Amino acid sequence: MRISTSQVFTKGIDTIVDVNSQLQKTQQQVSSGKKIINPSDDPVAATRILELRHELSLNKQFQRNIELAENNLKLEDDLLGGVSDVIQRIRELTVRAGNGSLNAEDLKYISQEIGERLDQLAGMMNSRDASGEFVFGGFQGKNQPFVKNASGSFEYHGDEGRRFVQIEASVTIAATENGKAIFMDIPAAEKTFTTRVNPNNQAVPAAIITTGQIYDQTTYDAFYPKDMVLEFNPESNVVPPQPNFTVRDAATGRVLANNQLFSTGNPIAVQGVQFEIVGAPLPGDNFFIDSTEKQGVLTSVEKLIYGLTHFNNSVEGRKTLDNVIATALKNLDAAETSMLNARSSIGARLNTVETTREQHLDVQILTREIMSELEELDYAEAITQLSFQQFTLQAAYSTFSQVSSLSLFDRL
Amino acid sequence: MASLINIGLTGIKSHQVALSTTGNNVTNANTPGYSRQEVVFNSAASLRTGAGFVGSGVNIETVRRVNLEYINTQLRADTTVFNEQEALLSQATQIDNLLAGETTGLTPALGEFFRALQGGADNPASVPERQLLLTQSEGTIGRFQALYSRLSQQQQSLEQAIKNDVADINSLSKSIAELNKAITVAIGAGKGDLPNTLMDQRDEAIKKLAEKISVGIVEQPDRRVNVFIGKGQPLVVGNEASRLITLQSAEDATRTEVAFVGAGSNQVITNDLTGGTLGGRVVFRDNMLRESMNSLGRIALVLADTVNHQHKVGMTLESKLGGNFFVDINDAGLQRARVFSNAGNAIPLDRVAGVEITDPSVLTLDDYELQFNGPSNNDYVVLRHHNNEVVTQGTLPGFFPAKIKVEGFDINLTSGSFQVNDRFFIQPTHFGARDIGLSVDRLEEIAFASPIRTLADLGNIGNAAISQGVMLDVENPLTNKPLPLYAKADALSPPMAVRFITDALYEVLDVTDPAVPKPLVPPLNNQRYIPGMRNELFGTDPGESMVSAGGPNIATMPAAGLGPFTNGYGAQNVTFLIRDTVTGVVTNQTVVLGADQSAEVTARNLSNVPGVTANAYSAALVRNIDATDGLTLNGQALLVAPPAVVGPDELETLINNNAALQLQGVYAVSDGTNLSVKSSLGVDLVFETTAGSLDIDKISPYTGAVLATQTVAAGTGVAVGGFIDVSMGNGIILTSTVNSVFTQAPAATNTYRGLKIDIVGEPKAGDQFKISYNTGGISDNRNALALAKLETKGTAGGGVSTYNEAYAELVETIGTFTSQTRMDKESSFTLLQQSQGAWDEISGVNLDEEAGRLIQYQAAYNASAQVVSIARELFDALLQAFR
Repeated sequence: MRISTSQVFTKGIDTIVDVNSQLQKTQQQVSSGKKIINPSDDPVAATRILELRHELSLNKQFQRNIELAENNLKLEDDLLGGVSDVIQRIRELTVRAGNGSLNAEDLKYISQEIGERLDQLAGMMNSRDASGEFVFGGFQGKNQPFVKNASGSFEYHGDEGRRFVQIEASVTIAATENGKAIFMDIPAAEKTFTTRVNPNNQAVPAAIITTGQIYDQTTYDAFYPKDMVLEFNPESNVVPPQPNFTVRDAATGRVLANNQLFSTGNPIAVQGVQFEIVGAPLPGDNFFIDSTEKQGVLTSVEKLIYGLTHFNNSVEGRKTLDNVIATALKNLDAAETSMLNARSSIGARLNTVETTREQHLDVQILTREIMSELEELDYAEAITQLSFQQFTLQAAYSTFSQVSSLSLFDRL
Repeated sequence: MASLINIGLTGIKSHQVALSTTGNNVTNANTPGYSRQEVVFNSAASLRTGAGFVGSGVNIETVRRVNLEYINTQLRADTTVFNEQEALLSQATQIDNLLAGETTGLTPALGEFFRALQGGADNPASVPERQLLLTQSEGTIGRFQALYSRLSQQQQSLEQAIKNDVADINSLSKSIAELNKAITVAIGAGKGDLPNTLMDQRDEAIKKLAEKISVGIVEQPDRRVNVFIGKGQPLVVGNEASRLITLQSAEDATRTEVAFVGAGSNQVITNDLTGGTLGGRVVFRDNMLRESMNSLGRIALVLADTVNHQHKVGMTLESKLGGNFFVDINDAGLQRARVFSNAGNAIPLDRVAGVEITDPSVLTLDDYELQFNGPSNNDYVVLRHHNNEVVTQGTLPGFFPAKIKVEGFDINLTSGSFQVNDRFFIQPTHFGARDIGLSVDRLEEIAFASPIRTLADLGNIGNAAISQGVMLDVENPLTNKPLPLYAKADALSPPMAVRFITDALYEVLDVTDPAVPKPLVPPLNNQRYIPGMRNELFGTDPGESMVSAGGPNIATMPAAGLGPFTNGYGAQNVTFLIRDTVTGVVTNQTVVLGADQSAEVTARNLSNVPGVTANAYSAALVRNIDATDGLTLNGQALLVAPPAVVGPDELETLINNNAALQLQGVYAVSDGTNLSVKSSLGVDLVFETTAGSLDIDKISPYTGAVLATQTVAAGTGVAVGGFIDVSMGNGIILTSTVNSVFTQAPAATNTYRGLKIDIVGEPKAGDQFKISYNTGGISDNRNALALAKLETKGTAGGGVSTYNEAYAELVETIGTFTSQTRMDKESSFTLLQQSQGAWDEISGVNLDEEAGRLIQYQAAYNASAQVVSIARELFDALLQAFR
């Protein structure tokens, strides 16, 4: 075969350049520790690495979420534990109050302590978390959930919101509780009611309605579960014209008490229920008396205090007191049960969160392994290759210089 | 002797030439394209003598270059392929390195964005988390824009390179034409000897041309060559060279087109160019680069659209609806920027058109062309730009605005004189990555909460629970009009309450005034509840509409009289026009309503029409019940056991305990004075009495107004007909030819509320649930969670790929292309080396060989000189002999 002189040189140079670029690539791999420098080195693996990297970052996020959920749940668990303790203390006081030998004075002292415990309870239920949001207010994080209304009793101002956090791609878990579920939706010992003002009332300042109480349980039980609406009528409905109201069955419109004369703060009694309206309502203003089988823990304690402070030392009064205490104990037990339920639910979630975290850690290790398999360099192989390429390059150098130095002209 | 001298001289002369040729070979050893030359010796003609033929020396026939045309051709072809692959590879490598880089790729930026959203979900009211999200959003946008600008810079440098290639081609074709001319002249002058150097120079020029573009060579008998490119465009013919020029593309001003300057007109040949650096660059620009930009743009569009949609249904820290998070992808300016009017369109250039993205998940990576090819000005066709495949065609309605639906987007024609021969270049996705921007600018505007709040009444007796609710839309996705429920800022209009009438029947009411609940508009009265199932309160079909029977018959009640008792409803044909939402084909279906037919039967018949659901119910108010014991309701005697006397309360008990009436869905509610009687099935309510009297009112279930009143005296009776609410799926319209139960063309109200709320469990009569605006719900993270979940949701690629998967697809496409091109380049390089080797083997100069030849020719030269010297000696000897 004929060979031209330029071929001798070109071939020699091409070989050197080629080996040089291979060496450069290997050197890059060795210095970065990665097999794949550009996606084109292995497009499928490169894409897989992108996905795995994304998976890892999600995984890390989920672990962060889990930590947050765990902190929240632990905080709630602690608070509920505290609430339980206070309820327990109130229960002890209630049992003590049931001791027949106590007189009105003794009961007053007990009720005073219960009153302090009530404030303590409300304080705990109005706890805030690290970022200053109310723990038990649902989504209403900046509004105090348990607020004393104008008539001095506690109302729930939060909502039923529960915050969920994502702990896995398809799993979210409730990281917060709302106060309504835990502290309000507690089965009451007796059928009872709540009162509220229609926010659309026209009177300024708006008239208020007191929490009220049941004075005749039998009558109320017969009426239950209907709701009532109290509406103020035009003054001309009565002679002489003066403020008056009508109480109706909310669902059917049946009149329960027609054109009753109104005087502020006077007890209004209807269907075994007694409450007061304070203020100067205008005709058309409404107040709602809603039946319920549930009673908030704060209301239960308030009613107990009311019973204790209004103790009348007579046979009749003693009987009422016994009744009050029996009811209160039942309600406190129900509250205790509600706390337990909530805490066991929280505990169950803490378990879930813990197992999920372990799962994430496992997945993380596995993902890293796959990634390193795809991405990381086998150093032994790479170094061997590197020295082999070095050797080849050196060989190319020396053969090139030897071959190219040959010339017939030297002999001329 | 003279001949011997002559013979010697021919040897001297010939070897002198041979030595010069060898010397020339040696000196041109490194000249590109130089073919080694060799001298062709020929023995001179023999002279006939008595002794036979005696030779007369040597002649040089010619000096020829050692060169094989088929090897030249092979070398050219391999050069073209190699240069094309190299151009492709150098471009592809740039994107390859860009896309998957830790610092330059999109994945890390997108990841950070979603991490920030998760942070928001963890702590929705937190100012630092919100600030972080704003920062990360800007980072993501910046990454999109940086990638876009890198790709667009690459395009610009490609355009410049294409221009340079074209200039090179022009100068090469000119020199080939000149060489052609020089060669013919030289051949003429050389009387048939070939001008080796000129031929080498021309071959080299053609090879250089082949580096730029694939060429076809036809050699003429007179040794001139014609050069063709593309689809047979003659670049060089004989002594004449044609010219290529670069033009700004008529359809897309950013692109450079290559045109062949022909007689009188320029022929655009960009798409015909193959091979060489120019072919490689054009191919890369029009395929890989365009697809990369479109792919990136599509991801940006999908991201902006899906995040915006979710953000809009959220609520901000200031209790307002979320609005757009990113700049609206269908901003009017952006819509218009996606359409380019062809430079050749007839003036005046008054056409206003835009591209509105309707579903980013089904967008393709293609560019399109809208053409008006006639025969009428309204006939259009939409083509896929790269292969001219017809995507859709049709005829415009002839008035504005007109809409053309294409793959995931609409072309909206707003105004202007669209006419035959108009062309528009459509790029739905190309600018997506450039145009993405942030719409929220304050951290309070980030909507992490959901604007709805549901609440179970504390007084509920049943164990039913209402879901927190999922917001689907604040705008009707079909019409893009705001839904009335969210018309008011900071409140639902109206706030709603779900009230259970019985354990299995509920209604949804407007509780703007909680003391006076009203039916909703459109109504959700008399809804059946199925325990043990998820009972969705609201429909999820954005096109569903409702018509309530509101004809003149509905507001009437026949006069009380002797039986038979009929509700007085007139006969009527009700026709449903049903438009198929996919094909647009309208079919109709008629339902015949018989005279005096009860609402129950009518509703059942109407419900048989596919897509139609009718809900019938009836209501009457019984007043002034004159103590009487002869009352019957629907044929059921209502007998009161003495000593009780007939009154509303007694009748309520009798009716509610009557098994036959229960089967008819009849129930009664007494308020102590009056008795309200209703049927949840919509049967006629027939009141008869044999003694005493009573007044019957027909009450509107929508307004509570009294529609008609009849007094039923002893021995008479009256029938009260029911009401019908007809809900119809998307595309269904109700019409009638007469006004009786239904009016002729009743106005249908859209029922879509963009809300998904369900109730599960076992409710009890009287239970209530409230649905209101989530004012103050700053700790709510529902929307943040929904936003964060978009990361793992199938949002792109027809709803199956996540953003990251869509991006990974792009990276993989580019990576595969680059690696494929690298292999192609290497193999074409090997081929090139082989053909170059073959050329060198034949035509290359070997210095050793030339050195050998030098010695060889020198020896022959010396020998020839000796021949001359011998001849002289012979001559001298002869002279000596005669002296």
